[in-house]
Amino acid sequence: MRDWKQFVRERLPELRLDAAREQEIVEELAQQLEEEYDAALTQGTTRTDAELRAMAQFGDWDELGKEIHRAERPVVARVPAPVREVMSEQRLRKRRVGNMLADLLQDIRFGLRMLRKNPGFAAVAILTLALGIGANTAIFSVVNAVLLEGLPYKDASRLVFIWSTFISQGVGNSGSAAPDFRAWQAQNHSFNGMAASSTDTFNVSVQNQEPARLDGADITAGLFPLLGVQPILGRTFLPEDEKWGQHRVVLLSYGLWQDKFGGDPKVVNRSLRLNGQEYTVVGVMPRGMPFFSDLPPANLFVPLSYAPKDEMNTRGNHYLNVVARMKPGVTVAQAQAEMTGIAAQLENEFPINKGLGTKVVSMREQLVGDARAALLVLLGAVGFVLLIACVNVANLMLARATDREQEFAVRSALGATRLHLLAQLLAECFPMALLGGSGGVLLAIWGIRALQPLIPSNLPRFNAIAVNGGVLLFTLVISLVTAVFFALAPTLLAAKTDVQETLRESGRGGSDGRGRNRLRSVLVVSEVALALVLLVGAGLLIRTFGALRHADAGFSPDHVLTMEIQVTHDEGEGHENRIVQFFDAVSERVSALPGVTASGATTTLPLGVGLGWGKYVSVQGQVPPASLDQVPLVRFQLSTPGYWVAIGARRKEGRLFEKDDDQQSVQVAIVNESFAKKFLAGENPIGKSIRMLPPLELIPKEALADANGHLAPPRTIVGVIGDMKDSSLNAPAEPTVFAPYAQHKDEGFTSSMTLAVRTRGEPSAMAAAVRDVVHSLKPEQPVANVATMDDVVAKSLSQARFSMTLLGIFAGLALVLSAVGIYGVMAYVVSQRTREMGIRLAMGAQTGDLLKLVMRHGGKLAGVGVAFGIAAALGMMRLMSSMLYGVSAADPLTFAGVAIFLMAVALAACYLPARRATRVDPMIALRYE
Amino acid sequence: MVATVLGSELKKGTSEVLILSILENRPRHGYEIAKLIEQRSGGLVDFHVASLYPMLYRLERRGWIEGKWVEKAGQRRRRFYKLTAMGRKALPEQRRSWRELIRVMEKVALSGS
Repeated sequence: MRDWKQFVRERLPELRLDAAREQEIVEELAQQLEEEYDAALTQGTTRTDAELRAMAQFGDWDELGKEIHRAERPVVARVPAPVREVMSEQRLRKRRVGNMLADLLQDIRFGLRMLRKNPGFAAVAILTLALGIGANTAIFSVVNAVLLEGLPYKDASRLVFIWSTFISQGVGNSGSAAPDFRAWQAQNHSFNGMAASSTDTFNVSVQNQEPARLDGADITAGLFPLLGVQPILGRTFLPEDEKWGQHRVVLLSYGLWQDKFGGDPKVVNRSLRLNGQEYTVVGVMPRGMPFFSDLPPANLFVPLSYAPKDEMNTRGNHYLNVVARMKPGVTVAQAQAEMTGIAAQLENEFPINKGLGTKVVSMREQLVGDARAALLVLLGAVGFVLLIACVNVANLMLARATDREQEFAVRSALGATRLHLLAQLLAECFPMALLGGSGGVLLAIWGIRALQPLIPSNLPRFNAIAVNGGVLLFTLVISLVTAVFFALAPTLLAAKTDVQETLRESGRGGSDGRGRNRLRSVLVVSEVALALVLLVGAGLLIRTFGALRHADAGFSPDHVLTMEIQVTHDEGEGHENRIVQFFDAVSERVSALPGVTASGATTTLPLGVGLGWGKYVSVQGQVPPASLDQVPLVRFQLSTPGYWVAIGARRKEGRLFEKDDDQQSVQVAIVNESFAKKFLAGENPIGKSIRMLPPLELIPKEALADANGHLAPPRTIVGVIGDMKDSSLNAPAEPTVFAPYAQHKDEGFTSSMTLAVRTRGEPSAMAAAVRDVVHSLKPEQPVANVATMDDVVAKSLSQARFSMTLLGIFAGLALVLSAVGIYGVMAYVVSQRTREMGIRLAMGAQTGDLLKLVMRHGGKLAGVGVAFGIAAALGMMRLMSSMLYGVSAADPLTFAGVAIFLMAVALAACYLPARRATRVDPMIALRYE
Repeated sequence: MVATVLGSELKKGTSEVLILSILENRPRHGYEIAKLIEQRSGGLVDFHVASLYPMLYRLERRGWIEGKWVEKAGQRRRRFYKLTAMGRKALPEQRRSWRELIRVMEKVALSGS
């Protein structure tokens, strides 16, 4: 006789159960075969026929193996176990706290075991969480560095900036004049100290080394003590260092000390040349000491010191950054009130101060103000991504909870309270959340590295961005919070389940109550709504970016090379003209280079590179304003004749500057269209006379006396050029007056110009040749910030690009996660309704009908989600309006496009399960289970 | 509405109710259960032995039936299944669901889809 056990063992696939159980099953199945065989024999069939009849009972052994495995699977197999556990739970309740830890550990071990037993479920859940948590960790590390971490100054919360304001001119944030600063310093009672600084650039040469042009700062002696920063070598400045004549002392940054002096510990008292003058090193500042992070990093510091009659030291020159430390207990509002009083007093005392106010801003507010909105939007966005991830995991948990309904019911019946069930689920969820969190940290570290090149360099403290202790703590907290979130969903259900009902009910996964379906639907709807909000946000930013890229900058940025040249010079008689000649010579020789079509220099390139001057203006023949504070302020720029062609400016009327617009000829000016529109509307601007001064009768007498006859001359407008975007692509150009560099006269002079070179080929390829020209004229002349104009434009877009890219990534993530969520739920619904589908098919329904049925179900959920999402997005996009350009926060095209797109994705996600529904074989469906 | 009720009712064991009923009065082993289902349904239910054992294991895991190896003198040992208290409690509800299912099926069959 055949060995039936052997027969079964050879055919039944491995069940992956414990050996004893597997043995039992084999024996039982063998017995079934043997009984059938015996029965056949007793009925008189042949041995062969009897064997065949026995064997025919089990057709598909693989299928049988799967079925048994499913029947024996842990969720169901656990029923006896929870009974034991719950019983011990009851006993545990009476025990002491010490045992609760053991209990918790047991629960966590149990949770890990559950994960191991459902590797598919675990992998999907952990990956989903890792994506959500990773996005949050990455953005939080940025927020942490930029918005939350303390500034590296002592008691930074008491530090404020004090700005001058010119409200009637719309200037809310101006630098301050040195005499005003000294008056504030002397008169205030709110502050422990007040200090001033101004950014400056220096041509630095240390013996035997290539000269370099470096950013630095002029500071008052009180600045570092005020900030609470100590030098690592030597001393900071003393008040007497500010005296003209004793001012040639310098403090090195750590970086410059390393670079130029090789970290020489005896650097104090060594000397270096700054702008051609000998300075003595008095100290070295500590490493990583950022100056104010929205300013260029300072490589060195010199005392803020004025020569007698220095025009920078007058009430007309507002250029100092003033920092102050509030006394303990003083609020920003109180400090502001006092400063307003002092400013009013100065207005009375000095007519030139008419209209001048002050603004006190906390240092943090000042340094992160602009980035805050964008970062908060991104933080909100990743919060949404995490919510969607949680919803997906909650859905998975819910599906599992359905399978485990019996287990929960048994536990409840045996006296486990809702809290016990929650504790158990939490213990199961925590390991999953922590694994997801760990994955998230890895993703975040990788993501920050990948995004580093995108982070705009003007983002304050951007180099402090890192996954550090604070960030890890944040990740831990959100991991635990998410665990609670998705542990709650099934617990709520379990709590609602009628124990009696469930115990009486049959069927693993048999009943899928309407309440559960509703919860699942709510989850899908909210997921779609969240994804829609993110997609709309990303859509609006993409449209903004597109609008910015296509915004007319007013010039042709392609094929333009730019570089800054601050001419090292002596202070001798006529040095200004020599510098003008130097730039003329550079322009001339560069223009003659093969591959160069034009070259010229200007004080300020479009898009905010270079020096920006604001000046009063009066137009001759117009009624003068009644008082000084009503005199308009406009931008003022100097440029050489070649500049216009080099930058690609558009001449609208009249002519451009020419070579013979020099000191000997008539003083001329070119204005931009904004100027013509604002001040000469309806008139022909050509030939009009303007002056970069208030009307003479409004100028205070002492200022007139100070000027000693050196007043800005009247200039004749000879041309109008098209507006060029000056500060950013999304702000309109300000009214601007251009004067020929060669005609500089009593309006101020600068030896720092930016050269623009228009090339035929790739502009950066010309950089070396242009530098050679500069060096051939002045061997040790440094050039700085060599960049193509395309780079400058790209840089001005970096903030928009950063926000767009990140929000785009997050919206994409949200889309994928919610599509997976919809797919999962629809697949579940279809599997729940397999029998119904089978019956419908058997009764003559067409496959198209079933397809429609499922698609309609999914489409309805997605549609409701889209509707909620649109409502939410309409409310929330208003928060983003400051980040938008060229598109409304309620842009119908974006909303409609996103809604249609999301519906299409949702329907596609429904389609797969729907098609599966149509493939149901009615017979199999009826026999199912 | 009908669809949902039908969907969930259908899921409830059609064959499970048969097994529970068969075990209602006394314990039986697998082969016996299979034969009884075949006999009682008069061959009308296309019942597969292959699906019997997974179903038994599932009911056992759920705690409605309990299997026990029994050795009688001169016979091979057999695994006998009996209804547990929980299973006994569940049976009436199962029967009710079954009747409900039939009612709904008739309704669907008459109205078409």
